[in-house]
Amino acid sequence: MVIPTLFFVSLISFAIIRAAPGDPVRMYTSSGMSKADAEDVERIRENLGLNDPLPVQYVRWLEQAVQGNLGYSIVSHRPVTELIAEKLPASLSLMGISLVLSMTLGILIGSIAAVKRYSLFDYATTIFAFLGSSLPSFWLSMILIWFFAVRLGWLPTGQMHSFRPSGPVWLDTAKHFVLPVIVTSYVGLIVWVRYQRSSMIEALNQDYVRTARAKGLNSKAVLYRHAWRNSLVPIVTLFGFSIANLVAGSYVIEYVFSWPGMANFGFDAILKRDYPVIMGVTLVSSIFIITGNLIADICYMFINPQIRNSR
Amino acid sequence: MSAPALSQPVPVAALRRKEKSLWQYAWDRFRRNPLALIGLLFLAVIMSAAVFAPLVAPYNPNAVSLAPDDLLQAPSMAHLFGTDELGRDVFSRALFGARISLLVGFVATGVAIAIGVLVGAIAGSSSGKVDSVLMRGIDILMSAPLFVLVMISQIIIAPSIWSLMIVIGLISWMDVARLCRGEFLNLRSSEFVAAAKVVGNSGRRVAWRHVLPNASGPIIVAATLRIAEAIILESTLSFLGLGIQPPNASLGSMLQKGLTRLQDAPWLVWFPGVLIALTVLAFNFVGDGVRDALDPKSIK
Repeated sequence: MVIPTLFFVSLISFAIIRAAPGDPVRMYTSSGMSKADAEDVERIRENLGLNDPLPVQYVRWLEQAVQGNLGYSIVSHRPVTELIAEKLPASLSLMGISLVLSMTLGILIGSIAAVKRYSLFDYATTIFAFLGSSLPSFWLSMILIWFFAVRLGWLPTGQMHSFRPSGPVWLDTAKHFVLPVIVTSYVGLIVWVRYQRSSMIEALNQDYVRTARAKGLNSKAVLYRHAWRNSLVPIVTLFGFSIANLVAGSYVIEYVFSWPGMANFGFDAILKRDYPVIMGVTLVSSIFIITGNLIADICYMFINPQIRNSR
Repeated sequence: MSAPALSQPVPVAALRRKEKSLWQYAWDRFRRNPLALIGLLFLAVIMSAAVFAPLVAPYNPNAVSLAPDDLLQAPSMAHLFGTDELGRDVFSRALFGARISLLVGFVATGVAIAIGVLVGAIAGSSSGKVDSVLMRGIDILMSAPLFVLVMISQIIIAPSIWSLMIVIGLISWMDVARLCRGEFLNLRSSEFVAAAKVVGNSGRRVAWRHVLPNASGPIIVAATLRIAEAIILESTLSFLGLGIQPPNASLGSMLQKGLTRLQDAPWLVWFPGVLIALTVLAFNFVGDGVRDALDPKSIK
């Protein structure tokens, strides 16, 4: 499943990128220092292998990619893997924090909402989740920026560090993290809450919970040991899916906050027609998404004996 | 697409204890759901405002006025939603923007439903190899970073309203196909399908005339919810500058300019965003309402 998907993604993105009008060499030479004449352009194209037939170029890229070499940026001449490695930590730290936050909070809130079903808390949670799935995340980001950064001036409007931080560096960085983390966590949180709530409700209706209650176990023990722990089983699969969602969903949020991560890096590359970088960013994003889906599948297989045994 | 079919008022006479069709039962239940009704009402208002935007809008949405008194004016009676950096009336632009956003939402969903139903019907009524090949293909598509591919393709092909509709439709038909396949598989073994076959209908005719109409409920629900998603996708792409191009505006592309004007003109961000959120919320409410209404388990 992983290999065909990666192959498909790389092939499609290669095709789309190359079908495009616009030429990196022209962009690069016309904006560059010297005027290039037609001969120079031709020579550069030849050197970069851009004159070969497209299938040949694709196979060459694929051969290299399989060996972990994503080529060199046409603009900065540095290895794509190196450039991506520089940008990845910013994206990963944002996503990691959001994943942990949305997961823990989501399971907590979802469980409480299920236990106190039809209570005020439950209704508030449902409304909260409904709102979250209707608000475009980039708009939510802008509203938060407007309120907390522009109106109140408590937090920075974007980026990950200040040029001249006043106060300790870690505090400055932490402040930059607050708003993007809130938005990405919120987007993830609503999914966790929904799943955990319905999973917990289902667990509470099981026979073994009734048995536990009937034999006189105190209600805390029933809730925690019997219902809650079993309700977590189906939730495990969500972990993988939320990785996939985070990668795709954080693109816009990174853009709004000018976050120095993969999204803005990829954007920049597309505008400059930096083919190897675009391919690299697409491939790395795909690997994350596909791995996330794979983890979900494996978890599901692991916890569900019916599927496990049928293989 | 579901809204018009359901919003047709049922004649009072039909409501008196005669035999009611499935749709009348559904409408009866739908009416009792306040959130769904509010959603439907809101959609009716915003859709008519969007359709009749040229009549409703107080100003020409693209009329630039560079007089200092017209630039970046805060909301007032003269300009309900204020004016932007070129002195254009944000209210009028929002009406025309909503028009484009809704249009993209509907057409993109239409594309998605058409492809999804076709693929799902083929997969669900053919057996073995064809089905599993189609389903594996869908698995692959669903685990691909489609949004990234869409971004790339929108940058590369000159983005326009048409490319938006097609591209959004192209990445959102897979759910529909799965759903439709499931319905087909369910219905395939039912008696009325067997009867239709025995009478001598061709396989294709059975699929389109007998199975599909009975599978339409879940598909309509999916369509309603998909419109909401399509509108969010459209606004996201337009916000990134990969959708509707100036001087035309969709609600999303209006927000793009707003990002740089948060300091001095936050109303550029408030109103179009609230409109998107309310529209999407309304579609979600209506979709959920239709789902509950069509659920045979809820017939009392």
